[in-house]
Amino acid sequence: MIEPADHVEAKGGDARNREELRLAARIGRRDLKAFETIYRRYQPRLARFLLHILRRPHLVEEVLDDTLMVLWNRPDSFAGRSKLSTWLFSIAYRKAMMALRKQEDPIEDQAGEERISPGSSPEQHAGANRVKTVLLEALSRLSADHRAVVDLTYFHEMGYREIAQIMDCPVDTVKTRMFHARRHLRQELAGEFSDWV
Amino acid sequence: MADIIFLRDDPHRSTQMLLPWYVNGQLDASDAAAVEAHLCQCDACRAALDEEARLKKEIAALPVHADLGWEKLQRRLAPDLMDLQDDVRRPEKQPRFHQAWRNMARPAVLGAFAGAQIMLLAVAVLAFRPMADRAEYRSLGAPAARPGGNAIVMFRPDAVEQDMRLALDHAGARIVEGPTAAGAYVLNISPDRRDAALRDLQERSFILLAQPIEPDPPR
Ligand SMILES: [Zn+2]
Repeated sequence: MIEPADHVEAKGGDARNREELRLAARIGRRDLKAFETIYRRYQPRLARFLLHILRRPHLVEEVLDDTLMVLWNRPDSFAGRSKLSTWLFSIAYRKAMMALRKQEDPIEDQAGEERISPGSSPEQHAGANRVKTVLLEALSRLSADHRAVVDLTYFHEMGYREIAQIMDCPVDTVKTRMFHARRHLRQELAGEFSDWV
Repeated sequence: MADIIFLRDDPHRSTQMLLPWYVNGQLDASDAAAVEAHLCQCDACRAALDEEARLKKEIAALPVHADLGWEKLQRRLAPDLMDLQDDVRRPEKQPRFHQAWRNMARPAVLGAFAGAQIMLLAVAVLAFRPMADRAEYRSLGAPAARPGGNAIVMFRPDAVEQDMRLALDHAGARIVEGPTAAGAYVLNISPDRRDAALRDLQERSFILLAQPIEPDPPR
């Protein structure tokens, strides 16, 4: 089940950040329990983010693993100047973009790799599912950068400054990407708004 | 659709640029004040705000998932962590089952956003396997503590708690364990009623999966 409750604000962003800085310091001292805590906390969030960007499950697996292992293998590279979450997402983003560049083959079946399940009674959920299907297809036609901004804003509920840090780009670029992505998504959804409750 | 023909430095444009972060509560005070000031006097941007909120909700709820190949993923990720766990935890400090359960459940954490039934089944099976270990383990030393799970159920994320409870009552099922990281619950159902009870549960629209699991060994 989706756990947006993991959102930092829910637990008091500052307290959460301080706790994670302490965990990172313990990881620097090779504390395996601390690493496990971070691993369990970030694996699902990073996996979703990477799936949005990469859309290729085999790459997600690899990049996700590599990203979290940076924290374990080279904890010194996290200097504590940003939040741990920002740092982890920026590594994941960088590695994902590198993986995409290396990847030359186009995706054969985008809809097949990122799709929804109809659940057990399709007729009851057909309306809601159609909106989801349209959204997933609309997302698939955006660039990886646009999808990253959309996911970080809507699902991970990050601010535009943090997203700019993660994507290593100007704040205005984040705003513009989001603006265009939303316009595209709204256009694709034009016929579906009546289904929205 | 509240699309507007924008001019450069148009207050509509600058407001609508910021709406996503107004909606997710991440604007700083001055940005938020500017957005609110404009919203007060602009119907079009208020309509855009409503759309924005709905769009965010839909996208945040998208069941994005991949067929990640659980066995492979587990081999790749879990062994590291299983080693880690063995290093940090002495076996006698924690029941053997618990550790196994956590290890098995970890790759299934990815199932947190899973939707496909086939994958859920794979997750459920993975997540369940340690239960059998526990049953065996406990039956050696403490028969009374055996939880006796013999079925597994997963609810749709939007299932209402009261419906869930009524359905379980009606099926004569009792939750003995869960939720796992993947959101599965282990049930105990009287063995002679189990097949009928599972058919009953499978009929419910808010239940994704209801499956028998390793039956109790004879007592
Ligand atoms: Zn306006």
